[in-house]
This record gives sequence, C-alpha cells and structure tokens, in this order.
Amino acid sequence: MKNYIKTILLALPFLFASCQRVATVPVPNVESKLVLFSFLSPEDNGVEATLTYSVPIYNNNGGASFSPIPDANLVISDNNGNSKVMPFNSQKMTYYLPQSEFPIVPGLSYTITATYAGKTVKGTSIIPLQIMEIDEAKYSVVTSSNASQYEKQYLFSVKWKDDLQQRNYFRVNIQECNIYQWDTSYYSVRDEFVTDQNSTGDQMAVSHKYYAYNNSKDTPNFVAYLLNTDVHYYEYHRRRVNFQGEDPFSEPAPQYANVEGGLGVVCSYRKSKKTPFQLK
Amino acid sequence: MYKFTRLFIFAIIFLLFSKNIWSQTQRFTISGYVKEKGSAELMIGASIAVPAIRSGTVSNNYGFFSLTLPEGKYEIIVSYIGFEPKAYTVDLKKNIEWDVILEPSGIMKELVVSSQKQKVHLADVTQMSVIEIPIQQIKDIPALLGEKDVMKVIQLLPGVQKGGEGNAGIYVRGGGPDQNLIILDDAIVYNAFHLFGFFSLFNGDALKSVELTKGGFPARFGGRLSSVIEMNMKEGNKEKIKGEAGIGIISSRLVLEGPIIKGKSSFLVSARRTYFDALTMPFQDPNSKAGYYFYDFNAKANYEINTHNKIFLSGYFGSDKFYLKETDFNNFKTSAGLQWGNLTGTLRWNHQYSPKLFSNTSLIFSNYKFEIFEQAQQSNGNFQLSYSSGIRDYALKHDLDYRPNTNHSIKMGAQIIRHQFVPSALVLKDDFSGLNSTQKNEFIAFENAIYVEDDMKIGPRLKLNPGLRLTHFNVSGVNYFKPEPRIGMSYKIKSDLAAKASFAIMNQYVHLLSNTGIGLPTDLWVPTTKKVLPQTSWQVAGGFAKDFLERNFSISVEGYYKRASNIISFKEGASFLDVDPAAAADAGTTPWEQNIAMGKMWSYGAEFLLQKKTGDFTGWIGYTLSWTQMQFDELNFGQKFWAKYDRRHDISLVGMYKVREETPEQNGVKISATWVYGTGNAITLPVAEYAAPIHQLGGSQGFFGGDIVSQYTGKNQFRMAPYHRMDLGIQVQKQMKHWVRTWEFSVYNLYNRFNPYFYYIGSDNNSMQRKLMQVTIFPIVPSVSWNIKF
Repeated sequence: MKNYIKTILLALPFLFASCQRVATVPVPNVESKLVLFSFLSPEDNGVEATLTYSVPIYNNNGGASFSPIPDANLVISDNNGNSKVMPFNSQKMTYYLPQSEFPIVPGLSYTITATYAGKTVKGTSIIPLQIMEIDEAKYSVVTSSNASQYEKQYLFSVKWKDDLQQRNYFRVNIQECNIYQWDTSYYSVRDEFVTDQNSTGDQMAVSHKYYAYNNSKDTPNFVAYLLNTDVHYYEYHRRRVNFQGEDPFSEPAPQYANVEGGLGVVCSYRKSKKTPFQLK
Repeated sequence: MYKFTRLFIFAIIFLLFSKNIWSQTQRFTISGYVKEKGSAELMIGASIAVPAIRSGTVSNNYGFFSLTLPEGKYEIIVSYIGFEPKAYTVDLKKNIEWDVILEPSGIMKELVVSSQKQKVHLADVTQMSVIEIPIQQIKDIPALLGEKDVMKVIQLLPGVQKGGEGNAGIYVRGGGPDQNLIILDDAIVYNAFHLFGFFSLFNGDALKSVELTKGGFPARFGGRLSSVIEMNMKEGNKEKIKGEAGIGIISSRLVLEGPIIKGKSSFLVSARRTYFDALTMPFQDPNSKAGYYFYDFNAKANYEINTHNKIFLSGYFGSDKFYLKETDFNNFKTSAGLQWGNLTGTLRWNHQYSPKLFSNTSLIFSNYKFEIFEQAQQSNGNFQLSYSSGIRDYALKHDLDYRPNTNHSIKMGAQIIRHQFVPSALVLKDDFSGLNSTQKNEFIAFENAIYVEDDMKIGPRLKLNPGLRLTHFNVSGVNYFKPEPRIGMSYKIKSDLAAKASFAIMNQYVHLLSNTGIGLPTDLWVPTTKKVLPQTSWQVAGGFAKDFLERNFSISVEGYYKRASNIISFKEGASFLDVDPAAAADAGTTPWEQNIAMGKMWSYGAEFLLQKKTGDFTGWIGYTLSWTQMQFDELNFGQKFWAKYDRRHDISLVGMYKVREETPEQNGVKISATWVYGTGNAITLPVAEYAAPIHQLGGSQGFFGGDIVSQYTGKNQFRMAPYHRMDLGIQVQKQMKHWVRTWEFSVYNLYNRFNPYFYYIGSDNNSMQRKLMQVTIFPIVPSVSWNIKF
C-alpha cells in the first residue's frame, strides 16, 4: 500500500502538468496596413480624420504607440467634384478641415483618400439625410439601497419616430455628468446600436438599465444622444464595442472596415440631443 | 416538405395494412427472452436465426424476441458476440414461450456452429450509420490516467470527432456537442462530463450496451440533430453475488450485483470517486484548504412479476465539486466553490400483451444543476451568495414492439417531456447592506412526440425501415409542430454485401449555450422560444457494407450530406467564462436570446470502417474525410466559414490482442493500442493590432487614438497543428483463490507528442519577441490500476 501511495504521489504532477512552447505551426505573414478613421457629420464644426499604422503581432517586441502619421497626403472629395487637401493639425493630432472650408452636406457622398509611403487607402460614406429628433427621453430610479453605499438603478427610455422610406441605423448614447463640482465632464454610460430592419411601425424605442454607485444621494445629470448613422458607422461600432481583448476563452470579434487597401472606417451620422427627465 | 410527409404517412399505412402482415395462414409464434448463463442478464441484440428459410429476428432492448413462422420443423440458431451460439430444433405446432440461455465463449467449446451463423452481420441490418460498441472493448482500450471512458471510445469511431486534447465531448458529422442525444436507461443526460470534460460520466462498469447512431435515425429517436448515444445499464446478476473493484491513479471504483430473490429479482450498484482532494489535504495550510472531487453512483433493481411483466428501477447520480475553505485571524470562516451534477431516475415496466406484442412504459426523471456558492462570516454579519442554473425533466414514454411475422418488426410509441429550464437563479443575503434578494429566471416547456416505424423485408434482398415521428413543443404559449419522416433501406447484392441508404429529418427544441464544447459546467441549456427557433436538419447517406465471413471482419463505407438550419452560436465578442452572478441575474434586461446568433451548417463526407469484433485480435480502422461549413448573418460579416471542428482527415487505429488466456496455471495477458490522427482545428488567429476608436459624442474629439483591437485571419481560417497520439495498455490477469486480479499499465501519448490545447500570444524564454505560443496539457502520461473481479 505504501508503494501504491508513493506511485500515486509520483504520478500526480502529470495530472495538471502543462507545457508551454512556441507553436510549431507557421503563423501567417502580414504587413503593416494604413488605418484610416473619420466620422463625418454636418453637425460638427469640422472634418477630422486620423491615419495610423497597424502593427503585426508576431516577431516583434510589442508596445507599439500607434502614433498618428503626420506627413501623409489626405484629400477629401465629394460626388459633386469638389475636393480639398486635409492638413495635419498638430494640436488635435488629426487631419482637420473646418466646415467653413469644406462643408459636409446631407445626402452627398464623401471620399477620403490617404497616401503615405507609396500606399494609398480610401473610404467613402454617404451622409444620412435626416436628423432624427428624440420624441421622449425619460428615466426612473428603479431601486435604491439603504446602506452606506448609494447604489441606484436607472431605467432609461428613449423614443423617436422612424423614417419608413429606407433602412435606417441608429446609435443611442446616454451620458452622465458627475454630481461633483470639480468634474463637469460627461461620461458615456450606455450605448445601443439598433436598426429598423425588423421593426413593424414607425415608432422606435430603446431601454437602458444603468447601475450607479457613488457616495451621494443626489441624482447626476444625464444627456441622451440619438444618431442617425450610415451603415458603416453602425456596423463598425456595434462590433467595436464587443471587442473584449484576447483570451483563449472569448470568441474573437473581427472589426468592420470599409477602407479600401487598409483598415478603419470612413462613416457618417446626423445627431440630435435631449436631456432626459426623471419620472417621479 | 409537407407533401413528402403525406407520402410517408400513406406509405406506412399501406405497408401496415398490407396482406403480408395480416395474412391468416397457419402460423405460430416463438417468443421469450435471451439471457446470459450464470447471471440471467437480458441480452440486447442477440440474433435468433432460421437458416433454412434465411429468416430470423433480433432481441430488443429488453432481451425480448418474437418469431412468427408457418407450422413446421425448424433449426433455430441463437447467437451473440462473445457468446457460444446455440442450435435448437423446434417442431412448431403451437405458440411457444421460450427463454434462451447463452454462455460466454470459452466456457462451452463443444458446440460448433459455423461462423456464418454466429451473429448478426453488417450486411443483414437495414439501418446504416449505427455502431454498437462492445463493453469489453471499452474496458480494454487504454485511457487517460486509466479512467475507462465510453465517450472517448466513441471518439475513435469514423464520423465522430473529439473537441480538444483529452476532452470527452464529441462532434458527429459536423454537429455540435449539444446535438447528441445521450440516453441512459431512457433518461436524457444533459452534462455527460466530469472535470471540465476530461472524463465522462460513463466508465462502462455498470453498462450493458452502448450504441451510437450518427445518421439514418429510426423514428423512435428524436430531439437532437446529430447523434444518439443509447446506453443501457446492466440489470444485475440474478443467480449469485458478483463484483468488481479497482484502484487507479485518480479514482477508485466498485460494482456489486446480485440476486434479491434468486431468479426473480436482482440489484446492481456501481460507485466511483476521485481522491485528489483527500491526498492533498494533509499538505495544505489548515486555515486555507482547497479541493476537488467527483463521484458517480449507479443503481438498478428489477423484479420479474411473471413471464409477461417485469419492473426495472434505475438511477444515476454524480457530482463535481471545487471548494475553498478559509479561516482568518479573527476566526471568521469563508467557504466558496462551484459544483455541478446530474441526477437521473427511470422506472420501467415491461409488459407482454401477446407473443407478438411487447411494450415498455417508462417514467423518467432527469436533473442537471450547476451552482456557484459563497458563504462568509464577517464582523458585521453573514454573507451568502448562491448562483445556479439547470434543467429538470419529467417524462413519460410508452413504446410498443410488434412483430407480426418475420417480415415486419413494427415499433410505435409516444412520449411527453416536461422541461423546467432555470437559466439563472440567484440567492443573495448580506447582513451588512441589508440585501436579501432571491431571483429566479424559469421556463416551463413541453416536448411531445409520437412515432411509428417498421423494419420490413420485401423479397429476399430488400429491407426497408420507413418511419414517421411527429413532434410538438410548447413554451410560453408558443407551439411548434414538426413532422420528421425517416427511411432506411438495405439491398443485398450478395449474401455478404449490401448497399444501404437513409434519409432523416430531425428537430431540436433544446439548445446548449456553449462555445467551448468541452463540457464546462457554465454551459447553459435553454429552450426554443418565439425568437429562438427549433434547430432543424436533414441528412441523406448511402454506402456499402461487406462481411468477410471467413476472416471474421466487416467493412463499411458511407457517404453523407447533412444540412442544418437555426443552429445557434454566441455572437462575436462573447466570453463564455463570464459567470458574474450579478450579470447573470440581470438576464431579465439582457436575456440570453439577445446574445446568440442563428445560422446554417453544411457537412458532407465519407467514412470508412474496417472492424473485427471477435477472435484473439479485435479492433478497427476508421477513416473520415469530411467538410463542415457554417453561415450566420451575424458572424464573419455573413460569409460562410469552416466550423471549428471541421476536420478534413480523421484516422483511428484500434487494436486489442489477447496474448494468452488466463488460467489457474498462468497469467492472462492482453495488449491494446490506439493511434489517432486528426487535421488541426480551425481557429481565428489575431495577426496584427491597430488603434480603433469608439466615436466620442459631446466634447471635443481631438485625436481619437482609442483602444487597441486585433486584426484577424478570416474566421476559422487558421489551422492548429494536426493532432496525433498513440496510447498503449497492457493488462495482466491472474486467477486468484476468490477472484481474478488484473494489473493494468497504460501510457497515454506514448511518444510524447506536444499536441496544442490552445494558442496564445506570448514570448519564450530566449527572446522578448512576441510569438504564437501553444499550451499542451497532456504530454506522456503513464498510469497503473489494480482491479479485481469476483
């Protein structure tokens, strides 16, 4: 029996032993690509675009900074034949044109072309025609604990009328402004990306549930945004918010791109805003 | 499809009322049970042949047979693999009730019946895509850490693929692990795995039969798309107390069986428990102890009321538990852990209405529960958390087996299952905050079915098995009705060569939310709902079966094409290790339905099996060539992609050789070996990184550098390294005074192949450069076990 126990103890390390080593299977060889992003809207002051490089994962030391490329040639053009070079703005660290110089007009198609180190990439977006106004934005406080930690659960509801003439894509974003006087910034607390593909009427609505933990009994300020987006904005963002990082137990979340020859998106939206009211 | 179904119904009615069945020539019936000598164990699938008229039948799942023949004198041969065949001469002038007793081979040598008459040949069976696995082979095949495992033997068959290294989950003809109907004595087993899938619940000790059906499903089976694994427990020895016991590297086991009333009633109990926790406990800090164990317990009892009525009561329960116990310096105690387990119970009543009509009625209970728990004593009160999920079934099933003559074997029946799904239940009590919350998310659903099928002979060469299953599912006021026509056929080209074909439509109303397929306890069973539709598939298969009678082996070659729709998957970005109880409890606002995508699957391929079941050398060679693709509107931008377990080539070589028989004078020696090869799994590999911002609203955008995301290969376009491995086992048996003792030495992964379990991005010791790293969990693993049989 003694020998048997010894045998078991000797064998135990095998039970949970694991070996890590460099994979024997060759990894795909990929090149760096130009990555172009631009979110266009007539409601913004200007047109912004960023250009960076992607970095292959394998056989480098990691820690890439993904700094913007400042000396590329970026040109924005519309389908009426207008075009303009976008200069690099070193303060914003983006390529920037005020709309006074190159207005973004609803219904027009815009293409941004970037050329750098012999590579050219471009992305195109058609600006949505309509701003969808929020008909109603409200919230109620669903639960509140009575302990020293003030935990509140806010249930938001945002409603708007849909345009049934075409398929539409929406982003509903709720932002919270902290009740602390020293911080007046708004922070995004919930995002919802919806399409009217399967809706049966012209009434669209989304609900958000949001838990807040803070040390005050006061209710923070909220603001709700409704974006009527093009398909590229919608497809990119709904995948982007699902990216959880790399671990062996998560489903990979490939990102959407509409930039030819590279990565990233050139997309557009129309924006409306409302301050939700609290139901008593 | 409905036109097709109507045609099926018409054909079945026509065949049921055909002259062939109901003709009233002077005929008599021989009926009874086939039993094993010494134990009176009922034998499933024994052949009862009448060579003179090239006819016969097979005993059913309860050992019952019925053979109706014209008046006359016949030679009848009863046979079963591993048993000596018996020949009888019967003068049939009236109905005869007759129990046949067969003896295991090697005991009775004097009766010689040619091998051609010894057993049911592959070419004689109408059904295709069915493989019966002899229990002895399950016990002989070498296994990881010596833990014999039914599911891992099934993985060695063509058309069946395993998930990951060491994992007992199975993928049949492209189907997922949730698409396998695993039945133990009529009860559905929902989670068939221990220790995150490394071992299955079934070690073969308590089992009498295991049969895998991977296509051409008879109408009596339903509820899953891809396969049926039907297991029946032994009844227990009716003559004397018998037992088996074993001590292995990680567990010990015991089986006891014997008569309750000799010849009338018997019992069987089987238990297994791991002792990793007990062995490590003395070496742990007394104030902080952690452990893991699993156990299985099978029990069965039966009572023969009279020759026409038998009652069986059987059950299984088993559980896995990880636990942690801590005591801090204030003597406050904390305990936490997770546990999961199955509980099944079946009460069966066999009744023989007449020599031709046999029935079985089953009352079935099945429960699977997973739980995370935490209890803590604190200075300001106690804290208690329990999060659980599970499924509980109550079912009633009635099956009729009617054998009007040798040309027809009709099976019909009905079943009702009440499913109780609990995707999440939370109990939270916290004295400090005053929280006292109990939330339960529950669905009740009914899954009902009726079926009829007829295994019929049309002339000397053609056999047909048409069938129809009508299914109904009700959940939350939504009803689904789905007809499932089935047909199998066999045409004998020569006495030992048959061409076979089959077609089956299947529906599945319960779904498993799991992307690992490795039997994690966090996998969640959920019902079809208004939004999540039933999974549906159809499959067509064709092939040839050839028996080499003189050499005692058979070959089958099959091709199949399978298409499924409404199969489910998690959406991209989902993490299946997310078991945050609070998030789960919040399922009312983010129900699981919103996190899954529905899509289609195509699988096609060819399978080859050369099998030798008898003799000193037994085993098989299996080869599968297959393709499996999927398409989901919400995955991979709507494009088709290879399934994770799409495996172009899959090879299994299995051999068992009895070197010498054990006698009082010498040790018996058996050697067994397996070699497997499989194309690497298809995975999605990150290849580059880039900054990808989320558009910020409101304030100034500035440089929207954003978080870093990955650029991937196309979905599942990267192949892991091929998997191959060799296992070797040697059993040395010795006849002792009171028992037979067996030492078994086995080596898993004999040549120490580093098969990848998963890949990750990391760096090796010699460089800071990022590399694709692989984790291997089972290098060479030797094991030893000691077993006795008395």
